[in-house]
Amino acid sequence: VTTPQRFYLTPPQVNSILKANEYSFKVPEFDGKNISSVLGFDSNQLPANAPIEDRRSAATCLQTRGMLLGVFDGHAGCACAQAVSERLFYYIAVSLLPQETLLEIEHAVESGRALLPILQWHKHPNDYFSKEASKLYFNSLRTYWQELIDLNAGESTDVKEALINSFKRLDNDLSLEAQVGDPNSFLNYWVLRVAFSGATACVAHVDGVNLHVANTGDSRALLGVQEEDGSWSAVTMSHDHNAQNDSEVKRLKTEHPKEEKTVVKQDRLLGLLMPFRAFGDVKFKWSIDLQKRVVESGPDQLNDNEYTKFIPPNYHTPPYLSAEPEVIYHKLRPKDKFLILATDGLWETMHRQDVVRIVGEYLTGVHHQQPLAVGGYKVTLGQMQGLLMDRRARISSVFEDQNAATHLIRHAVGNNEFGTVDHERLSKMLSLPEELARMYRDDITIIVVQFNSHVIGAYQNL
Amino acid sequence: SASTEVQPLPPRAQVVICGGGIMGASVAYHLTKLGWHDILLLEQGRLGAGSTRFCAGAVSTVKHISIETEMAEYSNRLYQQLEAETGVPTGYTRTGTILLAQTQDRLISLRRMMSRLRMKGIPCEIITPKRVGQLHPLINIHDLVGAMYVPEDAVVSTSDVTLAMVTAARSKGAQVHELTTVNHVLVEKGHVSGVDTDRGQVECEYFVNCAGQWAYELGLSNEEPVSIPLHACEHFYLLTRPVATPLRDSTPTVVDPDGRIYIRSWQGGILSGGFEKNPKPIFTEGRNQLEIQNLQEDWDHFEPLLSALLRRMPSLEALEILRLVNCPESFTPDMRCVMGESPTLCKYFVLAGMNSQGCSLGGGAGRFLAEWMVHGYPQDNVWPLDIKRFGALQSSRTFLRHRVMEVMPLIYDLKVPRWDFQTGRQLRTSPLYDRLDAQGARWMEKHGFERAKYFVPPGKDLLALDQSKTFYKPDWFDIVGSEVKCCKEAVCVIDMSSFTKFEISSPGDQALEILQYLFSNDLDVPVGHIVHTGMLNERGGYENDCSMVRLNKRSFFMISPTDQQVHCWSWLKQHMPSDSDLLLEDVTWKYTALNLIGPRAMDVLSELSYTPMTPDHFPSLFCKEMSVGYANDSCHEHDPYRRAGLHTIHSH
Repeated sequence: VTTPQRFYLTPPQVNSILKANEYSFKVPEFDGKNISSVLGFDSNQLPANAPIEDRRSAATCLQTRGMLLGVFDGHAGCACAQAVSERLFYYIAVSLLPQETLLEIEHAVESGRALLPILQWHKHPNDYFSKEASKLYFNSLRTYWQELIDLNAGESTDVKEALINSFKRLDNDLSLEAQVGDPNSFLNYWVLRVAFSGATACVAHVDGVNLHVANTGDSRALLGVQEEDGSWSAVTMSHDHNAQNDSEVKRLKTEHPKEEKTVVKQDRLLGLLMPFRAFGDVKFKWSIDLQKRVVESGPDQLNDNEYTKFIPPNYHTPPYLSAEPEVIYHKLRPKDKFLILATDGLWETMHRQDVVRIVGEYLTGVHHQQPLAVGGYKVTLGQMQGLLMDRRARISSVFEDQNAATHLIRHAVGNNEFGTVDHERLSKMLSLPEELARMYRDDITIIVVQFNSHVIGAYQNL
Repeated sequence: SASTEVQPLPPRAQVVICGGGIMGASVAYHLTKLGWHDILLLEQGRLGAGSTRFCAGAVSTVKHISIETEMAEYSNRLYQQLEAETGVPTGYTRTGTILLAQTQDRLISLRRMMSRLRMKGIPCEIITPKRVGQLHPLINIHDLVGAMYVPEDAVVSTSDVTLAMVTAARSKGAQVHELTTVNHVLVEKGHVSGVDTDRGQVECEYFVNCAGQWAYELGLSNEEPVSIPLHACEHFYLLTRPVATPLRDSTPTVVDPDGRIYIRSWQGGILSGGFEKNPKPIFTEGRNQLEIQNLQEDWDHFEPLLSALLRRMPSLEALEILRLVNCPESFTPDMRCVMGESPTLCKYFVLAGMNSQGCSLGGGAGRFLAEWMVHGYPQDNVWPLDIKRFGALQSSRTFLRHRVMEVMPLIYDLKVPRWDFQTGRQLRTSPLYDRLDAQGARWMEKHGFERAKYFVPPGKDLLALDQSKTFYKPDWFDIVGSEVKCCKEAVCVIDMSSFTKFEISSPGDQALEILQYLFSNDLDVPVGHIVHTGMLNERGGYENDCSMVRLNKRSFFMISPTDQQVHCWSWLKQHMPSDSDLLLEDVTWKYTALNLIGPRAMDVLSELSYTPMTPDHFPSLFCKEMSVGYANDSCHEHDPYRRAGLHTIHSH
């Protein structure tokens, strides 16, 4: 028996909160035909931190084929996630470029000509780029491609290698920029904030039937597969880098052989950090000397920050943390319908199987609701009515959303014990005061990439 | 009571009834009452199974047309004494029915119903919500504006009533065979001659199709198919465990049409079902007797009805569910049952398509059909239920599937005057349809034919269909008023192409002779004259109203109402000597009929034609072929206006 309760938010209010950050991109048709293996993507984020520490990026590579999509979960502030979301795709794109294109770009820069565009971004108006740092970022990137030219790697670039190199290179640049500092006091403080905060990254590169997912940290990528009977199953495209992953724990203990008892404590790196791989977080990378030196010579704001000054306990053999990603490759099949990239805010609340089913049903518009049967159970009329109303709400919520990511967030935040969206719960969760929200949920960022089965099928037949 | 030993089928019987539900049982029961004993009742499964078994068992005289009320009233009286007569318990309990009104419009419709019931001498009254609360312990009355109470309505166990009637029929000689499937009816020269079953053939004189949901297919299985337009829809009701203070058996049955539900007491708990807005048609593709036994419960589909129930009786929230029953019911294109003799096959009778009123109508409908068979004609005006009201076009599966989805919700919809069905339209249209539609015509349907009701003047907007439903002055009232005024004071043209048109001719005088026999007025008039007359039956009753035109000495042209097409044809065929040279042709399609009407009609016609229009040349009630407008002989076959020259002028 439900007691009448006050709803904190009306359904339209709930919707305006849920939809504030939603973004959709459809790959434009070419000559009346969609020749890309990607139909498009939906993305959205729901903040719990104020400001939100998650970031997302999506871009089409213009000088090579393929599309890049990523989610970035920041911690200890949003600076690192912001920097990675702006810069990482440039590093990846550059790593993938053939030698002659790199040379062409370098010559253009030297002679002050217009650059070939490398990426076409697909951005929500709230996804901003920092203007102040763009020159600094560009210089670092240019140094990177100049090194690539000098190395003259030649031949066809391996995507996996390119992903690993660019992750590592960017993290290295973040670290160097913070050590070198900048004459501009704003920028000087900014590069330090970036380096002392951290971010995980989960990035997908889709080119035809070739799907690579590079993951650093505990965001997750999942492939939605539709079986012949119409049911949905999930293919894991990333491994979490945290204490739940035995091989990660083992890796850390091997890398720090004398610190087996201290390197992972209370399921955290050095008893502090949840993800075992991340960008930034120089507190887990730099030597104690370096940390002290940089903090002391840094601006006052940095010196006043207790968190920054604090050296992790049992800090013997840095670095403890790296941004090196684990890359998983998958050759797309026609039954692979979509890819979900999401920060841990989603995975904390929903099981991967439910996530795939909800998105699958949403995208196909089919709702395989198990028919209800009373069977031998004791069910009252009131209970049955409640159950039926929930099921009905679930169906109608599908039609409220035009965005698969929004739909998923609605479920993640509003699901009750029956697995159906409960408006009461949704309105309570969304109306939590800023200071309380983080206690009930984490930032959630989701990208749902939809594949074009026809194109993928055609590739297969080639 | 049914014997399980397999007795051989008799080689012949006077009457074979197919279907051991309440309809077949009632027909058998009443035939034996009327003195016919050589009756064979065949049932493919068990007696009183199917829809009969699953039906909710409410007997109510609240029906939409008076003939159905009469049938239900008779059923009620019959069931009341059936247990005493046969010794078979029927579960008859007088409960009364309370029909609730949540709106003033609903209360108006209940008042209309009340005046109809009172005319038949059936006690009923409009009561206040407070009184509703006194009559039923569980009803929430806060949203009610009133109700109607019919104290003599009852509930029964329908399958027990069926068994009781079969027992009585058996005691008077009727034979009953279960587990016997009728494959098809044998036909000889347009007459029923026997049935072919899975256990051999049986000769018979009469066949009665009481096959319920399977009546449609059984009708089509003959060499000479019989169209029985009905289609099944799933129907759900809920059974609960007993209420904490078990409901008395005599607790009134509640009908809440605004909530689309009915609720009766059942074994201390309740039985509640309804007629939802979005019915689920079933068995479109064909029959499967087994399916009816274990159709799936569909709780999601039932949710609106469950919510309506809990709104009406909130205290039931804690009541435990026993189960949700899915029992398909058959529905017809106009929410009335299908009965009578087939227009195409002599002595093939039908009683089916009860629109889930089978329990209420069973006794009365069986009696009416039995009397019809025994006397050769029904004892009351059953035209609204006569199978001949339908044409072949109303028998397609697609049409029926669409139409029954509209009919089922209608059971609890407000029935304002002059509503029209919206599905299965444009089965037949006049050649002028598009032109009239472009002129703003609003359409109604009669016998599948689209007819213009009125024309919306340019610039005037009428209400949406749903909003225009009212018991008060409708928004089209003034439009129709001005159209009538125009007919009365000036001139109008009316498309009457839907009217039934026959030509009857013969080489000799046979046409005149048979028509003089069938019609009341003298038809031996000079060529070109028109006679208004009626076709009468042996008892002097009116079968049909029509106009006859003598085209020449030996040829007549007959115009009768649109919905008479099947009935009129079958009546004429039935009475025409089979060995004569008479030629009867349905020419409805050959002519577009325009009615030029009003005091200025002659002026218009003389503008259009060179034919003299003086009373000498074109007197009243006279027919003449003439060229109108630019229509002439060269485009003779294609121009509807030419044939429109066949013209009658009404003297009144």
